[in-house]
Amino acid sequence: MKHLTGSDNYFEDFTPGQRIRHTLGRTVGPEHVPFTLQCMNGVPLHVNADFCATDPVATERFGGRAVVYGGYVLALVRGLASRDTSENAMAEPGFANGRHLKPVFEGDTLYAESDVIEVSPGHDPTHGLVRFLLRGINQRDEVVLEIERDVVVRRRPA
Amino acid sequence: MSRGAPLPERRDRGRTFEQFAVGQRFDHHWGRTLTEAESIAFATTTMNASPLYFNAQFAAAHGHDRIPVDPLLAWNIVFGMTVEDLSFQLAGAGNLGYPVIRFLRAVYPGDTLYAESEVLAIGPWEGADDCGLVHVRTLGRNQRGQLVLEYERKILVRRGRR
Repeated sequence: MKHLTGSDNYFEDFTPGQRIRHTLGRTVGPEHVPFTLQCMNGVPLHVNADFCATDPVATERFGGRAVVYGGYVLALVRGLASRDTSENAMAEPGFANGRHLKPVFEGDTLYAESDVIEVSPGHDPTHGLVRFLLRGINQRDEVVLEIERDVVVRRRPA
Repeated sequence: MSRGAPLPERRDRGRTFEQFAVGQRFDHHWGRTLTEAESIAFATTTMNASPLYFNAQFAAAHGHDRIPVDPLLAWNIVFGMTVEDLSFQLAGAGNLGYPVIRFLRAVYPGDTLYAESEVLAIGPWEGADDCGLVHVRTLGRNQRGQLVLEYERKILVRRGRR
């Protein structure tokens, strides 16, 4: 099979302490609503603009705007980071210590950074585990999401 | 503008903080079958760069008979099935989130996912007294009852009825 993935993101390319500012940005548009509903999530704070504009809690905390569902924010930020961190992944076993630090609204643009926290070679000659601190950042350079992310990354083929 | 005739109150869904207790368990509604089309669309629209999730030939070369479902899509769908029981009265994220998310078994198109949860802890939230913190563990299972993912979530839930 032809070589389909990048050559700068194998297990050997990650070093603890390394910080990667990823290339891509992504503006959140109205598609966040159908995505949230596709995921069976009908929470009014995410999908009902009338509720958000009139509900006392939503108006006080979020200025009457719908808050983008956090699972979508995580999916987008992970996607923005994926070219540099998991293009050569075998698996993504999980996340830890995730926190939403700022709400995301429609029209915001998200960027991503990954800090390499730990690399564990293990005993398998084909891959190793890399733990990243993944950060989602908005157009005002505010951190909106932080989460640790484990990725099983292939070693560079001989 | 009023429609005239007296209308009943809009039916309420979801639980406020007072309606949660430690040890409470939920078998969440609906279940959900995943398709290959939505899995590929999830990978591409969220810009996931791993061909594992959108190239069947690549997936086969890496040990999968079919394109696996992106675990983050499986997690989002399990999460979605919990929200009416757990977070319909969401008051925002409050810097809370997910202490742990673990993917335990591959999910493939055609699999049907189910969600169940247990309340691990409840307590006040230092940020405001009109909401409280509910800490849950949720399990996602497939149609064979096998555990495919588990996670913990700390939810900011409103107190009292709206």
